Amino acid sequence: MADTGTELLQGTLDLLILKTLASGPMHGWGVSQRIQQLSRDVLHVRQGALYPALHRLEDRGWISAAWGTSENNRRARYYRLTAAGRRRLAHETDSWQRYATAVHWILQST
Amino acid sequence: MNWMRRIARRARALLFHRAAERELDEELRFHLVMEAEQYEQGGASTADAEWAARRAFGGVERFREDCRDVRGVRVLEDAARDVRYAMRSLRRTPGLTLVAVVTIALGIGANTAIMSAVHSLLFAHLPYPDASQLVEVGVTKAHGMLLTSPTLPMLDAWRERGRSIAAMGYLHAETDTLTLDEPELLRGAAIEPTLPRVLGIQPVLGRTFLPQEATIGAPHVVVIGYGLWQSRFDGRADVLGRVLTINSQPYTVIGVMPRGFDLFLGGLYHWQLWMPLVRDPHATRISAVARLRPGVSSAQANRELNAVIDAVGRGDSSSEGMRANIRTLPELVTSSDRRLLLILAGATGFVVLIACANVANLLLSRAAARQRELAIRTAIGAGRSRLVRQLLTEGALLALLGGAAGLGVAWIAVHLIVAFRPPTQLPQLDRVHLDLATLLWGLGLALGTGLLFALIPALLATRRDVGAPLARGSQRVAGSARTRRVSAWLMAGEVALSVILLAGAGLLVRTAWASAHFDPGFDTRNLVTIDAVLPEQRYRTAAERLLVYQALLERVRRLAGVRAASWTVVTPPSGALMIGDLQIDGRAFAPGEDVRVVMANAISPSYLATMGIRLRGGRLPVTDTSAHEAVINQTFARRYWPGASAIGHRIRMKQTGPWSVIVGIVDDVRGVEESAEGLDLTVYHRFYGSRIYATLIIRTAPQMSGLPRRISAAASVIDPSIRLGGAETVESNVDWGAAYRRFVMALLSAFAVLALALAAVGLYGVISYSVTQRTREIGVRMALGARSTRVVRAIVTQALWLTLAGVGVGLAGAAALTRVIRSMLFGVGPLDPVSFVGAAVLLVVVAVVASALPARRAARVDPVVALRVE
Repeated sequence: MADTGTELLQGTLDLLILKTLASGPMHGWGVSQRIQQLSRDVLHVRQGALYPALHRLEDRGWISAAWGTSENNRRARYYRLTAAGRRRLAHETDSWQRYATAVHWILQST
Repeated sequence: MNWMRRIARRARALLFHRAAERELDEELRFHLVMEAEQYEQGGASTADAEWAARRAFGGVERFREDCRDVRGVRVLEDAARDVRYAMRSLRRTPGLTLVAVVTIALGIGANTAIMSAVHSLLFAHLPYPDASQLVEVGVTKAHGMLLTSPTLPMLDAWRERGRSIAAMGYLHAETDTLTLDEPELLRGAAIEPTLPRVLGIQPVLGRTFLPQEATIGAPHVVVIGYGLWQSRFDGRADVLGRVLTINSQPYTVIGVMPRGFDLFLGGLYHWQLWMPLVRDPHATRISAVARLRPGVSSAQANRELNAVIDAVGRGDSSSEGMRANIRTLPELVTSSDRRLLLILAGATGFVVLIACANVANLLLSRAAARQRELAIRTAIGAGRSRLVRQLLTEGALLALLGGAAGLGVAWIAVHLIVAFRPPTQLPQLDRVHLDLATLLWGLGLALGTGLLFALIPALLATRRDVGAPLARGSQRVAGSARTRRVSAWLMAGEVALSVILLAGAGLLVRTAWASAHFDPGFDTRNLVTIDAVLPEQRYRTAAERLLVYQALLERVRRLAGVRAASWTVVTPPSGALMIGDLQIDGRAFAPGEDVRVVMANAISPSYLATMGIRLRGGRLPVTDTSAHEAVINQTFARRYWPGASAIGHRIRMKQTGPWSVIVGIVDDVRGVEESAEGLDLTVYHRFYGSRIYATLIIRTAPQMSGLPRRISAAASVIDPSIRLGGAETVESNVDWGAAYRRFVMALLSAFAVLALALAAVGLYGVISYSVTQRTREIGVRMALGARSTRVVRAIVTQALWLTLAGVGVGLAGAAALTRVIRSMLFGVGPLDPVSFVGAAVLLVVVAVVASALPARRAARVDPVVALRVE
């Protein structure tokens, strides 16, 4: 079960999904591709792990899902950011940045 | 609102879980297809692409489960699926399932039935508010061997100054003759007018006594019991104001006590008449009931009363050695039954444990047989907790099926207990019934044990790693060492519990046998006893009383059909008066050197002849009333004059008073109640009318009838106010103890047989399972030339070691536990070798048979077939 690359910190997957969906509705596979691409292949998300996270975010009401047709004419489940999700993203981004900055400072100080 | 939407979603997910599952499948499939297409575009073959897509995705099953988790209904869905699956898998093995269900049903049924009895009797609702705070104020004398009452000054002093009691009332137990059509002897009591208030009880009709009614010269009033009111007055309200003839005096009925009130003190008597207690400073035999202050324990009350006894009783020889013995009413009501019920409850507890061990073993073998299935499910991503939960569901389902059947068994068992209860003992047994509490107990017990014992196999079966069973491709080998070890432990424990039950039952069976062949030391046939009470006011001195007693005895002797008659103060064969302080002339006992407690009986000279007690030496006491002569039994003579003659020595039962000369030695008379090891020292004194009550003992011609009526007529010629009780045959008294023991024996034997059957089933199941597991090995051995007898012997030997270990532990446990039933044993010691060896041998035989059958079957298998067994 060993992964190469950096494992995701607990809870950051949600943030990544919200960020990815901010650019528009997308199906699950699309989200996984996009995260991989944006992180320049550094972050490895086990693709399967995406779906429980998507369902969880949907359950919280931050994203909504609907069946649509994919680019190659298959039925796919599309997720889109809701208004609540947009607020959540702003909040999460903010707190993530503060956290990252803090960690960065600490690492620089020694 | 967010949460409302979520609830709606969950409800939808639950209701349409098939649709939700379909959508999830489709979504995941879409992902895999897209991923695979990507690889294909990169130049991989279709198969490789699909494989790579799956690898990138990870364990589909696990993420699928996680998604279900998000829906939040997974637990319920899983439970429903588990139940369906469990039912299917139980149906697939109907034999095992039936055995498990029947096993649980019998265990739970027996235990629930006994717990109903415990619940109905031990925690019986007494008709008094806060009954646990009500105590009987008793004292013991002679090192606790003699139960008596405190003196009136002690009671008064305690009532006045005691800080642990809130209220106290006196009563004086009596036997009264109520004459409606015919004289009838009833139990009654004279009570202080405050007593009903102490008890916190109200009459159902009329009122209780006023203080002024408890004075000399006040008009006679009586309160009657509920039973009497119903049986003799049809429960009519106009009983109030009726005048009843009691002890030849007119009494006006002023009230009726509620049902259940006739059961106070000791619990066994039906009290029917209450009169006001007129205070008499010289009264003896005064009892008292007190209500403790809230939070005060009976131990505290005992300490306080002891201080009062020491202060008030100083210098009074009659209070020497008195110790407070305060018991709460609930303790009193059930003290005699408590022990029995707890023993039976313990026995059925063993049965339940045995049943549980069986079920655990069955589940263990099932789980072991499913190693491969479990391993596959683990490999495709099912969590351990998920598998454990599923196995637990099977356990719970079995437990519920067994528990439901067990309640049916309990219902039947309760009816059997009520139907076959001994007539006199345990009068409250007829009230035993199943109620909500015991039903819940039974179901809870079933569920608890089912889950507990399913947990062991569930944890064992799911703990190993995925590879081993799959790699070996065999369901037999996988991890069976651990499973077998646990299974062996359970089996040995089961055997041990069975040995304990069997040994206990064996002791009681032997006891019943000894009772049946018991020689009480006298002829019990055609022996009748009748209690008589003289009116106290008319016969104040012993001399006056003796004259009346003798006159009555003369008349009774002359009645047709009376062969012999005598007065006695103790009814044979049960207990006798126990009095301490035996003195032997010319011998000094150091204090505490010997608890000199002797059974003493006062008898007319004709007693020995009437009873048919054989004289072994000396002579019978003379008829002359002025001579102080005593006869002792052989045990007495042997104890104090071993190898010498006791005749001519002088003894007395008090520190002061006249000496009695021993003139004769008679056979021991054994009360059925005493155990064979503790034969009592008995001394017979001359009966001289020291009390107003005595018992007539009459040897009649066979098949006498109408004797009580003629004796009653004879008595009323002398004095119509002499009260006579009903006639009782000694034979029935002897049978009484035997009936009680037979009842206990029957119950314990039933449980022991049950335990044996369950243990046999368990042994058979475990061994036949392990043999099945080793079929391949056996096949190899046989193919290599092992003879079938050798194979059988090896398997039986293995079972035998297991059994012997269990038997050893069981015998040790039995030795420790049979002490508890010592008081019920008769004619057999608590470590009776016959019972112990019998139990051990029986179980070993069962083990040999239970293991030989599957072993023979295995040895007959064609090696070729055995080798192919998967």
